[in-house]
Amino acid sequence: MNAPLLSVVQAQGGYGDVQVLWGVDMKIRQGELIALIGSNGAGKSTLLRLLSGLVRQTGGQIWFAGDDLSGTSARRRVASGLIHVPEGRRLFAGLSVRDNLLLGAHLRQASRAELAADLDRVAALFPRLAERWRQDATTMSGGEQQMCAIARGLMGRPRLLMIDELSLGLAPKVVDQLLDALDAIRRTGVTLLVVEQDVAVALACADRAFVLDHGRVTIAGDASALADDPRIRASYLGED
Amino acid sequence: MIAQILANGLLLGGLYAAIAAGFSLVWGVLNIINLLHGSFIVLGAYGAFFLHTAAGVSPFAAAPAVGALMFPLAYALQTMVINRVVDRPVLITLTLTFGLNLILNNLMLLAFKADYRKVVLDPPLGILDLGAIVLPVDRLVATACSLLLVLALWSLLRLTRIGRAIVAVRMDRDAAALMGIDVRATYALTFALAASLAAAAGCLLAPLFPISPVASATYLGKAFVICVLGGLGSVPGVVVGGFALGVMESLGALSLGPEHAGTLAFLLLLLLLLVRPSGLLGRRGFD
Repeated sequence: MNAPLLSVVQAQGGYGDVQVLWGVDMKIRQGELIALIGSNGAGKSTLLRLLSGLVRQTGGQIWFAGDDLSGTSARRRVASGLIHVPEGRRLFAGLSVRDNLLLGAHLRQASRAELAADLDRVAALFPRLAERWRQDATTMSGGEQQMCAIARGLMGRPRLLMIDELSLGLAPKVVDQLLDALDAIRRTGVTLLVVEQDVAVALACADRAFVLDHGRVTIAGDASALADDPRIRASYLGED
Repeated sequence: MIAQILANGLLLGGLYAAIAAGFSLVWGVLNIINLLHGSFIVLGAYGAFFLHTAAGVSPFAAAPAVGALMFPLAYALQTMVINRVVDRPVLITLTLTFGLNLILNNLMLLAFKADYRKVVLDPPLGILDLGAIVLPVDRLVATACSLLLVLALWSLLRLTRIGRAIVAVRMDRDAAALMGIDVRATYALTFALAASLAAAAGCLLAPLFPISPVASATYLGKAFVICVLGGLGSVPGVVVGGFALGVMESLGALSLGPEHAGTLAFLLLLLLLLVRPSGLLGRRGFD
């Protein structure tokens, strides 16, 4: 079996004196689509922020592509190909869709031709963005903004793309389009870690899933097996 | 008469835009009210004065060089001192820049004395007589250079990779970090850019106004008013705010006497704050 692309060992962290993550263990292999599920306040977004370097790590280790990223800057992690699409999209107001996308490639020493090719690539994935190239990104619909946020992440040429709250507040039709896009992204070799509050959707599209509860991974396994797990069905799918 | 006053106000306003651009940039991006700003302008003016006195360099030609000299000094100051408290409440950063300004201002008093100095252009650039209005050419050149500086800042923010990074940090620091932008280095770059602009603006002022460390408070006050008038976070806002202050000061000097040039301007500023607190062009972001 290949060495994991991401290996999280007993990771701890939080905000100031408030510890949120109490020893998270997680291994993700190249090319997988992983769902991270859990109730509100379980620490899902905090874990992604910890992995991307926005939250201070107070214990454990984070290995990515053979390098120990523990305690490194967000910049170093982006340079390594660990890219985070944050909750709420966090597009830059006042900047066009195109400028937002170019910011995604900020660290790359890419030529104009390379950037143009990458813009074409994300436009092919999300044709609606190409129609709004010069529009202020934050004036688009929620679904289009999510597409823009994912496309901005792709402009950084990620090895692992972490997407927080993929479908939150979006219409089912838009969610279907995003899931199709994830499938296409995955076929290009990009590994995906998706936080998704709709557990049924998450388990339907993922290879494997981790359940986070009170800052610890409590259940992990193949998504199809977890979909039949009585604990998951009772806690997250609303079944007795 | 009115045309002449308007022309005077617009010439002055164009200069004011360069005075305020850096101040607005630092306030918008770093959320710091930089009380050093006026002293940076005066330091730039001294740079132009000594270059002119020692080597005969025109203050307009000296502006890019003096601005470039200021850049590493301000970058180091931000990196080594201000970055340590940049995330703290605005009162902390205000106090820090207040203290740093006291130090810089007193160092200038020590080095240059409080005597007023002025760059006297030889030969003088004369006047441009357009019939109804007469324009002093030195002011015209200074204003043109000032607007060029502001245009350069606007172009940098809109069209370059570094500019996009500055705007991104201004909008959302965490999201900018997720793009791989080094937020602290961007702060230092922004601060240095603003200080360079201030120093270059000081060069442009050197042949027009007396140079003294005590003038720094006046320039700082004007920069503050222009930012509030035009709206924080906008290069076009700085231009509009500068022109508005220039014209209001000219009208104030006419109606209330030269010693009260600023009185009308500040009265109108108070009115504007009541009617439109975000300023004339205020908006989110820096464009």
